[in-house]
Amino acid sequence: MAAGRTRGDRPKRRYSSRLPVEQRTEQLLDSALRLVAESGFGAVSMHAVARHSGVTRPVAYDCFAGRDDLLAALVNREQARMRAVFAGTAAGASAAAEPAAPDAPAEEGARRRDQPTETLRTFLTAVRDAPDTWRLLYTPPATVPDEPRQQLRATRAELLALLRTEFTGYAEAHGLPPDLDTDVAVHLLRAIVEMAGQRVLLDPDRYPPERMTAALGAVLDAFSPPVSSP
Amino acid sequence: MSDPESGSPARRRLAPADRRESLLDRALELVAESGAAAVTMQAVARAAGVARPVVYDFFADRTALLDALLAREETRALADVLSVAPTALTGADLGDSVTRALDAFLTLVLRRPTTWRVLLSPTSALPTEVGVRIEQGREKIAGVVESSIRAVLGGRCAGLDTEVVALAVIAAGEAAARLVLAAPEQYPPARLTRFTRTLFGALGLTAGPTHPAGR
Repeated sequence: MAAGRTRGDRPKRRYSSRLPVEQRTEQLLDSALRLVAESGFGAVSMHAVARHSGVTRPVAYDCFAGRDDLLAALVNREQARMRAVFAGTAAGASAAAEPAAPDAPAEEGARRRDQPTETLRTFLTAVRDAPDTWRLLYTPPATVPDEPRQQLRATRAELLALLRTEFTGYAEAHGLPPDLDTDVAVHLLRAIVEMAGQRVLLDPDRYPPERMTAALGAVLDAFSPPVSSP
Repeated sequence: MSDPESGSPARRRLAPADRRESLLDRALELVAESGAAAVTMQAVARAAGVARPVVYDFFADRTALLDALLAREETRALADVLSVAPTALTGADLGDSVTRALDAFLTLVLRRPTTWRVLLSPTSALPTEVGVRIEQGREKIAGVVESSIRAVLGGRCAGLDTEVVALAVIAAGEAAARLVLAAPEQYPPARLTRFTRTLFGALGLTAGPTHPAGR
């Protein structure tokens, strides 16, 4: 399989030709992601990416038609990774699942009460484990080329939708009044979640996911109205 | 103080301190209209109706000018926020405290919309030094907010990570300010204060700082 991909007839190339295209593509995308994280989208060129991967430019062009193509592939890959995390959160799972059976309300209620904290923990742990991926969400839109910017905007919209699901579930579980302004709640909630993610990105030693989750979870507990326990 | 030692070709004779303020005012307007990228020495000179060397008399370069602008706006904003903190302490209960502080804050934001729009814009859109300065301003505000939280909660903040809670309060406050600035008709301050009142009311947190903790 690897043999078909090699180009042994090209002389003087360092180990550049030995990787299958799929792996080479991943390697180049990893380099591009690192460059974006370090210096922004402006730092990504075919030349810079090739150099970062220790290959010559033609090798990079074997994998991508050009910078735009590479950036599109990069944001596609990172978007898929972030989506997978969203889908793996409790809210993401329950949004995808069938509606709960009406005859299991007690367990369902308890699960839902812990759910926001669990979702936050999942999100912040993912941020800590793949900081470069999540830093994309915090990149100032003005510095991002058009197409990736729209994709990242879509991903932020998905985060907002996830938080809406989360908040609605929380509001139901706690019997919050229906006239509570969901739009305002979700915007403020998003700001808090994004702040937590940003702290994990900026200073994971001082603000580890565990600390942020515990601190914000404690506020949620304090906010739990006494009537919610049957 | 009003003796200009430089032979600057200023159109109107302004005392240096006044000239500096007026240049910063023009720069702030430029930021408000077209973003920080629109602030160049040339653009500020043109907006102020002076020759470019006049701007250079006061600021070494564009970054120095933006930095001075941010320093001034941040000082104003910080003074604003500090004046809000005592408001929180006058509330009849926790929900009332939060709502009063939010109301006072949003009133100040709308009184200086341009200042706040600049301070709340994504920081890396501005030169790095400026971004760092804004972060330092946030740190200061975080300290003030944290002590207000401790004062309002009293014994109830035992076991709470008040540093992180302060960061969350600031994040929520900034989000509220962004909503009010971006869509004042859709999100008037009254809509946001109604939200906190309803939320805290529903959570049974209107009983005041002496209300016993959850457990």
